[in-house]
Amino acid sequence: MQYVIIGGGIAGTTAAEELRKADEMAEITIIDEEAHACYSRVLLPHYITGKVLRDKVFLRSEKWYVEQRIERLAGTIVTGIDTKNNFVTIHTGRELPYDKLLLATGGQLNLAVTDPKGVCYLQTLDDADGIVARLAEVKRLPVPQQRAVIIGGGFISLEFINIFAQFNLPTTVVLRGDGFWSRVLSTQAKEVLARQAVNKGVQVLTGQREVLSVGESEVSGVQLGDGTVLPASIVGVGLGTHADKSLFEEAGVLMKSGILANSYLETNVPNVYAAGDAAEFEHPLLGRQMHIGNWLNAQMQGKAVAKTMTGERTEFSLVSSYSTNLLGLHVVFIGDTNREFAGEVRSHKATETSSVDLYTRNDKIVGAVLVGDLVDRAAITKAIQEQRSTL
Amino acid sequence: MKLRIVIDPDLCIGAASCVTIAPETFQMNMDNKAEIIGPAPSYERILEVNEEEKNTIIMGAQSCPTLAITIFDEDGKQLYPENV
Repeated sequence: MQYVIIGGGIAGTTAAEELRKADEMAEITIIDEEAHACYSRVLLPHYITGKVLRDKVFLRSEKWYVEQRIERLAGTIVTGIDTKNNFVTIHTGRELPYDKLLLATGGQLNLAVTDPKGVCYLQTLDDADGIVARLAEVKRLPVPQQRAVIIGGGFISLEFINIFAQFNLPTTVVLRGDGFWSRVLSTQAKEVLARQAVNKGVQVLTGQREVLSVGESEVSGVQLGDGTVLPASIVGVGLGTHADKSLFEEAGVLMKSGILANSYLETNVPNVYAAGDAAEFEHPLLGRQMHIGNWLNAQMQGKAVAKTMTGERTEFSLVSSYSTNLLGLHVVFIGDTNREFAGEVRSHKATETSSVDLYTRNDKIVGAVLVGDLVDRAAITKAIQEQRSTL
Repeated sequence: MKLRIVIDPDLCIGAASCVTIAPETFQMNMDNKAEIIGPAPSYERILEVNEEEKNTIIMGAQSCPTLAITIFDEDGKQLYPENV
């Protein structure tokens, strides 16, 4: 049996490991755009702030792939997928035949309109290395020039806020909408987060469109729509990700915001599967196609899809959550927090410093956002799993 | 058999993946850190486990995106993270 996996992140690598456990004789190949062995993206902020050493972010060694007899094609781009004749073509022209193909390509970064040197993204280890180098340069500048701007208001934006705070950089966050996660959170939750940012000395500008990083050879600031320029020697960009559709669509794989899959992570094309941030899968408990981008979801989908690929068809029904913090204020997302698909968003708790909102559909709790008060986290997760309408 | 489980609260970011995978062993505390369930929940504990429980606990540790959970066997050998 020949297994080909496109993507060497946690979904693809976990799948490879499980495939090997299930099939001693199989040929397993991971095609990875990145040069590095599998590492934890979640540890990158800890690496940047010096909490862990760089070599501690790795989850697998080069030796592990050899021992597991998993071929890893590093720094390799897929140029074509032929699902009729079952082979994948890579940039060197090599063709890799497959019996089963897993698409675990993650998300493609949404780039800023302009990104001169000093404008940073935070998706890969290379990005993190770049941030570490840039921060060292920034700290050598005269103090008044040590200023940061962040564009975007989601998970990565919060990581940048926490990182820049560690380096004592005065920071301004520029948001397109009316707050952090503007299309997800309730007004109350947005206010709690904005208050926390401001109380900790972070300036927050909402409703900003046409935002441009400016600078000659490197970034000197961020220009707003009205022409104002916020001076900055480092800019963090967190504008989310999108799916790179052309390669898969040409191969006949159906896509929406991600690669469409059923609850077994099977795509519409026989012997082609999807897992991790790239997959938009039918969630049996949440009752709709979900496109989830968090660590546990990706890892557990890697495990589940490997079972299905080796013949033990396994439905994926995990209700995953993700947690972050804004300068010490905890933020947790559980289940389905997409407002478009929520019948109602109910305020469960609301104070000056905290908010808990429940997202319901057909009177069942399907998701929640907890800010500053995590007491009910376990109870809410259970209610979602048990498809209940109350805690 | 016995397992020694150690959580580094400094690395833990409260993702709660361990709680999702091994809810009999891990829970979140008020600081949004994982801790090991017991009469007095703590960041370090020695547990008597069977083979199935051991596998679940190791899977819980493996699910941690910040490698905040370390597992030792009764001889002090580190079972997870394996030395990368």
